[in-house]
Amino acid sequence: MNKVNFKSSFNRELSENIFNFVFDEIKRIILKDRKFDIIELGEFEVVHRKMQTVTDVKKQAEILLPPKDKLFFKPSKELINRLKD
Amino acid sequence: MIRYELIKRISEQFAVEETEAVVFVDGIFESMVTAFKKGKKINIPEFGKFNVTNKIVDGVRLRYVVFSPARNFAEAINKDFSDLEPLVVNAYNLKKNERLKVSEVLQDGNEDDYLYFAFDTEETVNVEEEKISEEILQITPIVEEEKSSEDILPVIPEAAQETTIPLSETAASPESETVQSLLTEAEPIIPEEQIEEIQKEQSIFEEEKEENIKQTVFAEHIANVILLENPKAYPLVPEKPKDEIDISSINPEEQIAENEKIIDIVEHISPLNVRVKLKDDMNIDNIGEEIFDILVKREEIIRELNAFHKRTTSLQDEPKNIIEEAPKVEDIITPEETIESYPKPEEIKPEKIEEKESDLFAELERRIKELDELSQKKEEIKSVEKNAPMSQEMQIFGKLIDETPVRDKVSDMPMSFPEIIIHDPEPKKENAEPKSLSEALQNINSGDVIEHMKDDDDGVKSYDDIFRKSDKQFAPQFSVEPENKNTQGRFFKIFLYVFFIFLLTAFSFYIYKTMFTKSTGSQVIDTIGYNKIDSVRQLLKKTDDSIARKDTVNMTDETEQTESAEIKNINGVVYRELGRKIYIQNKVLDDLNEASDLELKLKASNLNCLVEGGTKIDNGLEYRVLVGPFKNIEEAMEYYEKHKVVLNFIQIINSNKPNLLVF
Repeated sequence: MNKVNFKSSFNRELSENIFNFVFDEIKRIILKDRKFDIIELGEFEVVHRKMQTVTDVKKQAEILLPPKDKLFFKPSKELINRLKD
Repeated sequence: MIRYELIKRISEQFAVEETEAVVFVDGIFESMVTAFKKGKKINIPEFGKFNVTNKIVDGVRLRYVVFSPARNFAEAINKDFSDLEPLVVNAYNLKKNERLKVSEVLQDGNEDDYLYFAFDTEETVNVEEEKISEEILQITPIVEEEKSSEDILPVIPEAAQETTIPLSETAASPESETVQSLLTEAEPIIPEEQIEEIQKEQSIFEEEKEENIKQTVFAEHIANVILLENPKAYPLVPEKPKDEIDISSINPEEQIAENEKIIDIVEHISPLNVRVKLKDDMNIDNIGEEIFDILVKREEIIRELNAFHKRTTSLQDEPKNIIEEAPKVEDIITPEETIESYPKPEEIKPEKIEEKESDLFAELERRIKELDELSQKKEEIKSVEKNAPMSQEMQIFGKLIDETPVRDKVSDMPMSFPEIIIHDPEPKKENAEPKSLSEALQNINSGDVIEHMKDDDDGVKSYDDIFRKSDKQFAPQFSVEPENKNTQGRFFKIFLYVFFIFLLTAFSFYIYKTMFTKSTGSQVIDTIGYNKIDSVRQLLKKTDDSIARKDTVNMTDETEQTESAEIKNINGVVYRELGRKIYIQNKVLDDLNEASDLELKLKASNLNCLVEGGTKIDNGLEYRVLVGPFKNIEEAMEYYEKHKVVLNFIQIINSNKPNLLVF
């Protein structure tokens, strides 16, 4: 926050509010559109997992898993390339 | 959503210029990327966590960013299926009474390709348990513990079980015989031993059940007593309506009338709310017994309550009131009723008592008679023994017994008398053991050994007179033969011992001399082998004397030592003073032969000389050839001046070494 505040001309309170607003907007968009993409970071996507049976080897038990919506994040190529450097 | 839209919304929301919003948003993402480069984690509250990990993509290891959403955010995403939970469908390795419950766990910062579960064995999964129990039942028959004894009969096979159902309906059918034969032929799966054990367990279980019923009855009584005192404190036990009384089975009108009477009596007698369930065969007499039992139990309960309330201090007043106000048995039931209801105990008639007494007296008389007979027999035996002829020895023993002092009977009485065992008289044997001493003496044929006392002899004889010694004495005679002492061998042994000791002492002395004493010149010469020469012997004697003298001087006086060992060097000539006499030191040699040669040459040239042995600084031996003696140093100097040429000549010829001064 300090870095961002230093770069911008906003005061700290305003910058905090804007920061929270940014991520609240991202959350809202993900819940609404189930997908959000930023070039600098990557892609957030909600994936639906179907109902399935899983075997646990240790307990020797078959487990029936219910369907589930889960959020996945895939970093962009730009981010991966920048991390390489 | 496009990035531009986000910036536009920010500018609208916060009334900020778009350029500033762009700078701010870019700054946020730029700072996040720089943090990822440094390998730092980023936690955005209520959004999620970003974590940097290493991941292999297409065979290349890369730094990868992993995101795990916050719990609330994840639940908001999965709100459509949040109510559903994972279920255990089949469990193959489940133990008895073990239950599984599965729940999916969110793992922060881990890869999303995996699923994580936590097993909870405490909670129950009914469906799973039922399935397993069904499976087990299908495989093996199980006998339940709480079944009654009737249910524990041997398990019938399924084929037979199917046929048992119509058995009651078709009892007379021809098929029933075949079914019964099947039932009889069907071998019980459970062995008979197990059945017996199960039946025992069932009997114990039934006993426990009875005890439980008793306890419930007891508790009901307590509740009734409490309700009697405080009916408001506890809800009243609902009175059993008359319809509940089992009178359905009593069809005749007479019995109904009797039951009504009983109910009236019960309601009249007991103000308690005692629930009485009438039986089919219940009469007025029976109900009286039961009421009496109940009242007796009630009194017992009151006693127990009294004891309980005595212990507790807090509730002292209330229980007393309860007990005082509780109706007594006498108030409820008249004595006539109790007497009528209960049969009286049988009275013992006096005739029977008299009969019993007479029997006892008869037995006593019979015993007394037996005792009298025994005492008479004993006296007879004693009289016979007294009248019998006694031998001399027996008479003596009898006198001795009579003369013994009579002890106190009370003190000598044993506390417990041993049992008297009377054996049957055995038939006498021909070679039986003698009963008395006289018989034993008569049987002995010892005429040679023992000589009996004669009646003619007066006075008492000594032992030797009575028992004379036999001619043959069997006493052992010990004769020790003198040893042949080997004196020669003994002396030889002593000689050997002495010789051996002598050798030891000699050897030890030799070792002492060689190792721990200073070697003198003569000893050295002896070892070398030059002691044959007479001159040398003389020289050695002199040297020994000189050394001994030196030693004595050293021991006595230091001043004399300095005088005796005085050396003077005048013009290169050494003058030695030995024993208050002065010698001219011609030469000092290490070898004794050379010294003796020089001495001989000097003597050949008419010069008096001698060889003196001495020690060097390094404890070595040296031999000084001295010419003399002279009275004083002046005389020695004159002699040297006269024979200077000869002395030097001889010295030069025989000496390889210079004339050295040695102290």
